[in-house]
Amino acid sequence: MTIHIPKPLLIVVLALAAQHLCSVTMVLAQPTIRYFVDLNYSFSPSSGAEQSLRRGSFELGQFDMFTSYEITDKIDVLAELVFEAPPGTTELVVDLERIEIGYAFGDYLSIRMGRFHSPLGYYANAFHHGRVLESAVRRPLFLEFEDEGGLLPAHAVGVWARGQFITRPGIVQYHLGIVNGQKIDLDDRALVINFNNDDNRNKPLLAALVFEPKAVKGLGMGASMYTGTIHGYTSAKADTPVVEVDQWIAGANVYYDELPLQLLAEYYVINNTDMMVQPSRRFTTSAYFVQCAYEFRKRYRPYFRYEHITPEAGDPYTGTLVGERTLSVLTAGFRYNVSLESAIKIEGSSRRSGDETIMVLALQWALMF
Amino acid sequence: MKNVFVTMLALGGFLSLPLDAQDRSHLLVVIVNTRTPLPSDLTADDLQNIFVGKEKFIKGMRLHPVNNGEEDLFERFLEKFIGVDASEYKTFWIKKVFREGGEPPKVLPSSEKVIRFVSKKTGAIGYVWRKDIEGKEGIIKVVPIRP
Repeated sequence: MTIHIPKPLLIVVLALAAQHLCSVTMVLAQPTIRYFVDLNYSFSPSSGAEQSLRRGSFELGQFDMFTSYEITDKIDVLAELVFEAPPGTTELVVDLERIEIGYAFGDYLSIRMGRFHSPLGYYANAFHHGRVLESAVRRPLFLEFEDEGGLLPAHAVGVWARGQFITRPGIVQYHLGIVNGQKIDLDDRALVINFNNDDNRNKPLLAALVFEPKAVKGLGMGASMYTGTIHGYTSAKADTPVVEVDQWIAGANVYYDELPLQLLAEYYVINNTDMMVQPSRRFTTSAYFVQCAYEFRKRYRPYFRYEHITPEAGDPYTGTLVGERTLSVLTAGFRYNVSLESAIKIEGSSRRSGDETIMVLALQWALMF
Repeated sequence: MKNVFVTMLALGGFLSLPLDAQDRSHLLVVIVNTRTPLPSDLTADDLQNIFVGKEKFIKGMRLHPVNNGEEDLFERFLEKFIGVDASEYKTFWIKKVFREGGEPPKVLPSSEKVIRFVSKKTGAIGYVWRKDIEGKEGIIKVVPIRP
């Protein structure tokens, strides 16, 4: 038997079906888009401080555009674009801080590729460029990003596997990665990320293991490592390295991050073997920080942090990035939550390097929307 | 007088009963799609892990938790199974997504929409009042939650 359906009716039926299908899929297809902004003021009364700090300066922080989207049940994408004006410049820099594509086989394994934050420690992964998510105005000095004087490889470009297992005592997470590695700009005294090419054949490996016990919500502990070869270049010899170190970094961390209480502690050993200037000479640098914060009535959050870096003299890596003097920083600050999305912070820090002590006062307004 | 006494006695008896015995229609129930291979009963920890994104897959199938936009139901669920309030839950998911990527659970504005979504989407899991599923037991499955 043949049934004839009038065309107008068929069109209406198909349109209604499409609308229904769209209403279901639209519930699913909602990328997360979020923006983070921070604006700052810094001042130092210390005679040994940089001139810009001595004068007191308002600073544009970062405008961070973050998006995350699950394309299918197993494929997701993440991107983070940051606009910032580096200190001492009048330029606006756009940095693709993260771009990741991931495929999840299950909770036990997800393969990700792109530019990501190295899974070394808790702070580097929990607090990225959105300053409103941090208690303090700034990151621990040795965990600063590469272009801001950091000592550790905060970013990596490569491929990365991560996963977790839910066990009776708690959750075990792992991270394994192979990446382009970084190089040292000896003129700017900073680490540089190899975005689109690797300056040497070596591919650093990184790994991390984290355990979050079920018995204490918010508590976690982890260990991480990074190993690779790093070259350093000057502008005069842009293609020929003048520094080569074989490096391994080992770190341990413990955190309790369940407000109102936040307790963070991380310790790293950076072992560099000079392969060029003083062949096979080994250097060891240690760096750590401890931080505590407590939030009252979801509004008022005082915090304290102590940081310490002990470089070994002669190390071509740490000597370039942080110098050869022991550095310790004591920070005390106060964060006021204007709203769920916005916070004002004020902090004072005392930075001691050798016999020199520099006080810095900083104010920050950070928010997200 | 006798009638007043009897009425007062009955009222007192009623008020002394547990809340869920008084009004079972306001019991919170967890519902899943009939094709979702969850165990016949879940623990409260399992449910929490699903709604905080610690467990995203079950037997290879992606889970799709969905929150109920009805305020009192949402708050009851958070209090009972997640142990946070709405602002803490929102902050948790902002931090988690910023750190790891992915997306937070969808929020659907009514129990009717939650039921419709769960009935159609394999892997979906949501929660409604018991009264909202009356007559709909064929299209969704109620999952008992063990402590």
